Amino acid sequence: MTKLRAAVTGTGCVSALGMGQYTLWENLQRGRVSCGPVPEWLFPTELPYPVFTAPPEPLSGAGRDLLKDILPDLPADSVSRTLLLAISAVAEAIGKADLSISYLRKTRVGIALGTTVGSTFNNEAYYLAWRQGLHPNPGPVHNYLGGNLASALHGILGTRGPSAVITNACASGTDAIGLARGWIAHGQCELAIAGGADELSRIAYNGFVSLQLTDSSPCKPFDQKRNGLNLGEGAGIVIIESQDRALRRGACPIGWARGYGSASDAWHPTAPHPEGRGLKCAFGKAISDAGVHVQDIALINAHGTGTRANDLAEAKALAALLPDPDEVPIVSTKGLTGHTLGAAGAIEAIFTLLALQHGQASGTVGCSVPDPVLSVKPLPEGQTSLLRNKLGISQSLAFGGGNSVLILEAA
Amino acid sequence: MISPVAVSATKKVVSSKDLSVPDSLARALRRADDFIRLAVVSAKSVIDLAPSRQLLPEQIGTFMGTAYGPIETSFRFLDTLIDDGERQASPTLFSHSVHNAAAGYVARLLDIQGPALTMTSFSWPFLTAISEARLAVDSGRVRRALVLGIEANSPVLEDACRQLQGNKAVSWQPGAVAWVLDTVDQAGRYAVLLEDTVLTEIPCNPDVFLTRTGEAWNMDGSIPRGSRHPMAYAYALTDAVSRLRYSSQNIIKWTITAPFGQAQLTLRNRDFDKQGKLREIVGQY
Amino acid sequence: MDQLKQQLKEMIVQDLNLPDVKPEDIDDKAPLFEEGLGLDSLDAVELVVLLQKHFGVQIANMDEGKEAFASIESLAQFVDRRR
Repeated sequence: MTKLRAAVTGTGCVSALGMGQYTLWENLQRGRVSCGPVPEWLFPTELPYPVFTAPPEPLSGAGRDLLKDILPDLPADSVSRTLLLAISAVAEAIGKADLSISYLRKTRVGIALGTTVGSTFNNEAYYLAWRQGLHPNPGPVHNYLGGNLASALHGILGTRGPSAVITNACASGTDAIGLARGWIAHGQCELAIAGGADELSRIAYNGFVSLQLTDSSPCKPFDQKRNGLNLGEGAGIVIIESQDRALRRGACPIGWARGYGSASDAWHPTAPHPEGRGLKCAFGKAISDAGVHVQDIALINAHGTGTRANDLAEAKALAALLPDPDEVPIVSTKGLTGHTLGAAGAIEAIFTLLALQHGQASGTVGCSVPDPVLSVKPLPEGQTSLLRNKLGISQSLAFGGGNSVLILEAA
Repeated sequence: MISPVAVSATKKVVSSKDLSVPDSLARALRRADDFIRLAVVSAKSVIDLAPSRQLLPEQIGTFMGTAYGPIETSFRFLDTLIDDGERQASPTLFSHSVHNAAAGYVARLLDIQGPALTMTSFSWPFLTAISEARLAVDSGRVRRALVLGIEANSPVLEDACRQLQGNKAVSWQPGAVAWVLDTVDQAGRYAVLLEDTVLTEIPCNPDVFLTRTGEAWNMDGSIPRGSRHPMAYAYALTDAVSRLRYSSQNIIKWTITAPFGQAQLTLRNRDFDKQGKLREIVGQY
Repeated sequence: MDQLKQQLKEMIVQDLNLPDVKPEDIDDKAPLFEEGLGLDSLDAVELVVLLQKHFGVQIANMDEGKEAFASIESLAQFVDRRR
């Protein structure tokens, strides 16, 4: 698609693994799993399905500073947990990219964020009162209207430029990064803040439970005994700018978004195409977009939710796509973060870059014995794989049949 | 520089009376809510109106913009959760309450296997969808783009809107707008070329997104108009394209302003000389 | 048992959104999923919830459900045993 290199100059991330990249990488290495019953401070439930929670306080120090400097009078309850998680990740990313607020305000900045819960009106108390004919005070509606993640972030940062909130379910984070990369290539903006964020919500939690997609134990992606997913929450943000621009301002790329592809299964509202048809198509598009060969791929961060259907279909697709599946470590990191919905694609893109940077992939936490029925053999827990180069893939499969693939290269 | 794209066909659905589901799709839409029906019916209609092309399913993409998505379906799911309890909430309602369920239906029922992008914004989501579709066509990611703007109605939001406006009555009909974008070389005889889209958003009191107070649009000096309906701008833009298609006017700069920003689209007519032969107006590209 | 079968048929037609099907036209022994009535995996999980709600019958997992859901007859027998 383009000869313009999309450099990643900063990343920021919040999840059950903690806040901030160094905490994250340490915990990733240690395989630290913090998955447990839904805590009371999140929402009340009788259901036993465990979740991966981000820190109870969603705002990091740097995030707090960002808000404090810009909007000291912002009422605490008017901003959603999803937006606060996003702010923490954004603050970290722009810090890492060595960007000041004043610089951002002089630049055309695009903001592309994926979310699921973060785009819905989920104030139950308001709806309950409305149902009873009580005509409740429309404060929650006001907050909902002010809660579009990208618009709100532009407002908080004081920036101008393209703005998009992608609601493509589980592929949203991957799509947001792909979209932002396209903006840079087309000159729609000079710099982009891209990624995704989602908080755990009682509604989404019950929704996935009703679909019988959740495991009542910690999830086991690709394992023969896998029995479903665990929901998680968090945010992942990457800063993307053209290589030339980054170098001109003295920034050091930590990697590049080399390619992106997306395609639809056109199959079923909730189940993936059994052969992974859409994933195969998206994968091919991404490879072609990046101008690389499949054989060059050193690591695949799979969607790997731990549901019987997803892992089976995804493995089938990968077996058809990879000339030699045994040569490429395939991992899922959802055993460490849960399925963070709109944030997943972005958080996992960051994990992919981190692994490529360090030249090493850790095995799939939760996967003790890879299911022999799967068409490929993912890297199981406890094993590590040295990576033969710096090129990798992060992919997502979504409700509604969307499939999105990002090709990333670490510096 | 982004090349122009051709608007090959457009379709408006302005009330549920326009929303008759063809028999061939009735079974497939049995679980669909109004939001999804709007999407599928408007998408099918506009594809049928567009010139037929030899395209593979993965060469067509769907780009949808919505402000509120299937919000009433998420309330119906919440009803089952509140009334029937935690193990008895409806999985069908939940899976249909996610914003991109409609794009999934469109993909499946019309066999469109390219990228499906659903975006949400409270300002002008249909313009955002057009913008992204245009980039996708220009970059070659897709050879044809189906662009949809969908809003179902919501008594909950209508009630809030009423309160925010000092109890002035509000009601809106569900509505949809669907366009097909093609590359210029594939444009049909009556295509309108979309040359440019510029969208600028500024911070504002968010209530305005719902009340749409102060929203106004014009085209080349005609009378500015405004409306309370969240899809009104998209209807007006689609009308402008239709008028341009059959008029002798060469170019329209369709402009919209509101407290939350402004947008401008540049639309150009494909012109024909008296012999009925194609005479392209080549602009400064 | 006949009354139960009738109730199940009505429940399926109404709550699984099959307006073009009349309950009396559903054959007791015909497959419900894939062929026959043509229900899918989303209908299956919805059916689990409906059985819980209308008959107080719990289904532990979809493997258990698979046998029960083969036809109206097997479903009626399953519900009759469990309620």
